[in-house]
Amino acid sequence: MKRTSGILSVARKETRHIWRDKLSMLILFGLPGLIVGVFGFVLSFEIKEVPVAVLNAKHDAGIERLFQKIDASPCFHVVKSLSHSGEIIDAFASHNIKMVVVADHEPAKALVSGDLPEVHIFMDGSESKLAIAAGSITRKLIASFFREEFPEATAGAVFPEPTVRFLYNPELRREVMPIPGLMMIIFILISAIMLSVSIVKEKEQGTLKLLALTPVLPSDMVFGKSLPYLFITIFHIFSVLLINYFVFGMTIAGSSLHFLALNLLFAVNSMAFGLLIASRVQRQIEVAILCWLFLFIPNVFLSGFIFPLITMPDFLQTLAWLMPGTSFIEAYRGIVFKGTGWLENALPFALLLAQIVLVLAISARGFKHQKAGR
Amino acid sequence: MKTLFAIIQKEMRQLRRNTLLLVIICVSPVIILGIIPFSLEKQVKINLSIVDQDKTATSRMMAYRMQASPFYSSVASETTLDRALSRIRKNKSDIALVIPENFERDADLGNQEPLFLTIDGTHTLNAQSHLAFLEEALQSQRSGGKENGLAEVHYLFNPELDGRIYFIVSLLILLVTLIGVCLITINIVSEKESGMWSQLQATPLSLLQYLAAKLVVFAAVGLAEMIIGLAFCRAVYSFVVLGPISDYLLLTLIFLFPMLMLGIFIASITKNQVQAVYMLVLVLLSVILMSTMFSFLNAMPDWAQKMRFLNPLYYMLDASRLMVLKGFSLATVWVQTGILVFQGIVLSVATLLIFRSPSSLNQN
Repeated sequence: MKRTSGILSVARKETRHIWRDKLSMLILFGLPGLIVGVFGFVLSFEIKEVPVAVLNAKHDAGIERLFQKIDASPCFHVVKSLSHSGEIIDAFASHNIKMVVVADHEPAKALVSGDLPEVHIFMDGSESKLAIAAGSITRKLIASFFREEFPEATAGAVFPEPTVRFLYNPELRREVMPIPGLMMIIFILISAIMLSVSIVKEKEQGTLKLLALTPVLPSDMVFGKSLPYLFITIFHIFSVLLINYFVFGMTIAGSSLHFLALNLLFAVNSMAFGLLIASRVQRQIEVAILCWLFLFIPNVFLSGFIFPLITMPDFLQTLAWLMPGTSFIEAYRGIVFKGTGWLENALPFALLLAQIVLVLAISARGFKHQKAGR
Repeated sequence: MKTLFAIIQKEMRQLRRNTLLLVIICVSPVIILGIIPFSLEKQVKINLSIVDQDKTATSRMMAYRMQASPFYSSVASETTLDRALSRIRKNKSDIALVIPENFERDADLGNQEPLFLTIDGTHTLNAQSHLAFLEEALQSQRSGGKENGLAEVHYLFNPELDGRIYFIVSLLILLVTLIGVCLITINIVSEKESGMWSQLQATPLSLLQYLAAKLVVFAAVGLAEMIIGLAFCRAVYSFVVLGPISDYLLLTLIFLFPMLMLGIFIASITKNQVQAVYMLVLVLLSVILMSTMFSFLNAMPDWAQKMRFLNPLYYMLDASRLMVLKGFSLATVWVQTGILVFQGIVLSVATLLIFRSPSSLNQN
């Protein structure tokens, strides 16, 4: 009973701290919804309106029609017309141009003499995936153009195109991709940062030593401090869900209860990582830098949110599974898109739970060490 | 000038004596750069499941060819489409290819049934580029290796289509930005919070000198991060800056001006470190997510594209990609550089006005 009242009084103290700092409170409560609502539309690796420069060396009318066809496609946008081939390399320096299409012949005349005309596509290869996909789309456009314009000359060169179907995200809707990733970023950053900053602030100012003089046990103190942040996190979960539902029209293929459990588990996991950082450092500046460098960067790059796990080498896939973000994203995709059940998501859930236990154990040792050391 | 030098010396000493922080900012970029780039797909690697319903020499040949190609990291044969789909569901493969019955027989007749591809669409760009790659491979296999003669694609700047280098540039800039901005903001706010700020105001040191000294010190830290990062990536990933390296380092310095001013701006509007840390999350997340680091500019909605005028990180990424990946010099990217300088000046003026305003003086 005495312990409960101790925990509650620490929680009350922490709530007042949060309540009295209006700017922080505004950011704390508003940020998650803002991030998901705004950046859900922004993050996208979609091939859309890619800027293109064209070069029609012989000023041929047929080629002009081809360029109009390229411009009309939703994937490309012709922004510049070059006058000679010496300008090709420099064209890439301006207007964000990713591709130059060069035609230096007159197809109508070339076809009479019997050889197929060649159109050259110069791709900016630095972003390789864009280059491969856009190159292939352009080739198809050009092939279909010549098939329409000169059906007799190109006959025989055509194979039936494979039939293609996309699973889980049939129209390749772009908003679907970033949302789990954004939710992951929010929880991992905000839940971890707010808890660890609130503890390290007391360390840095020396008030933690004053708290050590009160009858509240150190473990109860940490627990009491976590309580208000746990409620804020639950608020985050629901605010993000509402935005997902109303702004992006998200539907959950699996069970909603299962989905809520995942979110809560992941948020608690992030808070545990926050505690771990708080147990090791003395200053808020170190908290900020460690959270950004070791929670944000690895979870963004390794979680399969932007770069799919399946394309990583084996040892990194193992490493990636150690990241809480990976478990979250896998389970999220499983529950929301594929509608998988408890059994199929046992691994991510078990991993998240194991991380919580392990991380809490390590941070408890860290806190004890400091007590003994000082 | 002497005062400026003295205050720079003070900052340097403070930085040097905080050993833990120094270790963090020197070692963590190396750890991150040592691990993360390996996760980026250097070469296209497709995990394919083949359902061969034809079971003839042609279809078997097709499967063998794919197994032999370096672009398929695993090729699994499945008996039914359902089993192939369950492999996709378990994330064991990303594309299922069905070779229909009578594929070989009908090949000569001209009314061939098309191949059937099923792709995991969770990663839009990945799905598209893998599909493009597979289609091209199938096309060239069937036409016996020769191109179909209508269009030829040349890949400039990165002929091996190494998918890593593009993101190494982003990662380097991300590290420099995060470390620089976090350090400068919290450093100034902690001086405000501890009362040091008020004491410094009682010295002959002017506000301009104070901010200039911070700017110089943390720009040096940022530049050092960039040099460490570039050297490390060169040694491990043989990553080279194609443009002139001195130009690129100069660009980094120019970029650090608006970015660090943004940090100082955050410091000017926050009262304590907790506020500053939260504000950093808000500002840095917005700047990073809007910067085309994880998106293509043209795929973003119009309002988001226009927001780039406020975002130093966007211009840095744009200019860096031109200089590092395509070998242009600083002269070519003068527009981006000019905008960076302009953003820096605007932020400096705003920051000075806030710091000079009466409300800021009685904050402590």
